[in-house]
Amino acid sequence: MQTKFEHYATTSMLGAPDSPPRCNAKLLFHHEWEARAFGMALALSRDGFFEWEDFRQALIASIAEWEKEHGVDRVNPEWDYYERWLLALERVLKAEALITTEEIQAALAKEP
Amino acid sequence: MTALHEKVPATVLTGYLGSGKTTLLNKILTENHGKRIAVIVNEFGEVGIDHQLISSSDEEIIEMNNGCICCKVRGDLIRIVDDIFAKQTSLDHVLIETTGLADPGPIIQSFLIDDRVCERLELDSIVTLVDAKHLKFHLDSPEAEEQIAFADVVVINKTDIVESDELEATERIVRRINKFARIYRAQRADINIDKIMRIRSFDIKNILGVDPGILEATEHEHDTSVVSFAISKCGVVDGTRFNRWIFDLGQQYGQNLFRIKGVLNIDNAPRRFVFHGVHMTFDGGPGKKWGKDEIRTNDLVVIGRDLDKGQIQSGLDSCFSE
Repeated sequence: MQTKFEHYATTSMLGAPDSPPRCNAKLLFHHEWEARAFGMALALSRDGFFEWEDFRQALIASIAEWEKEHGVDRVNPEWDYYERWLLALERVLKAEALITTEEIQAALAKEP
Repeated sequence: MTALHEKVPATVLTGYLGSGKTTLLNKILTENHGKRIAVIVNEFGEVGIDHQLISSSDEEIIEMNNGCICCKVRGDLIRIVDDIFAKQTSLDHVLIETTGLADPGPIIQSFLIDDRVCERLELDSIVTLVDAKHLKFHLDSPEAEEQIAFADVVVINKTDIVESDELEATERIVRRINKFARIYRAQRADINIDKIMRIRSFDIKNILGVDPGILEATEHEHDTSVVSFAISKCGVVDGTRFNRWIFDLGQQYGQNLFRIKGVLNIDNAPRRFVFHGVHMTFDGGPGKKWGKDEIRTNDLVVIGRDLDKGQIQSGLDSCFSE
């Protein structure tokens, strides 16, 4: 049995269509922000701020939105799994009133 | 994306021969409850006589004519579940009736380990019907005892044909075999289906701490080898040691470990760790978050045959961090 939340959450996605990209069985991140978004979602759910199942539903919905417009096309250069992930995370954080759109925009405005 | 479609809850209905399972099924199939229920009936013997007795309705009855459920039900159950979902996709509930002579273990394990079954169905609970008058005679058969031991809900049926002291004696027998099941009394299997369906006994999110009343209950003298007990202890359980211990326990007791469930404070994580198991199969994961100042108690409930409580207690003790 997976007794660690992080192991449980990631193995629960294995083989499912919303599972994160992997290379040689290891999680594959192309940019540092992707790994941060990944870790943040896991850590916040582990600490009880939202249910992992709710995040997965949000992730599946955000992937479905993209697919509705572009089709299931993983070689399309515009496809970015972690953009979908980040969108889902933002939605869940807003739904749980942990962050507001204004706060996200204010933080983005500070970026160079 | 269909990874997270809603699973259909399934109830496993057991009970010794003559305990009223067919009456209950008839009631469920004819009553106007507005739910779409698929019933899987298992027959013992070559001719499925019971199939003739169950009134027809819009709901589908699929009869398993393979005989004894304990030998080969898994393959059949998988095939039947495939059939049901090929014909009918919008079901509210699946009810699986086992024969009066069946050991419920294999059927429960199919839910926990077979991908095709657990993809569509989620085990809701084990409901066992008991004959108020004849239970004491059925206990010569280990199956009758095991059906009670596995149960989440026990319905003591035919209460109209016994006197109150006899009924209480029957209830004491049930309690002695299984301290943790919910017990209801019924006449002619007339029980509100909400009491036996959608009670989510196997949902790890639904496994709560043990009712303190159960822990205080006095130990009964046993004239049966089936025991049920709870262990409750504060502190921090080490995840690695616990994992090793629980699988060793499954290996050691195997078929004699009927049900085990627990809520644990593993590695002092923010969330509870909840798990349950049948025989050698275990399933667990993170549950509800612990409260801010909540006392973190580890609760374990065990039901089985010839279990050594002292050994299990000290085994669990050895899993605690310093």
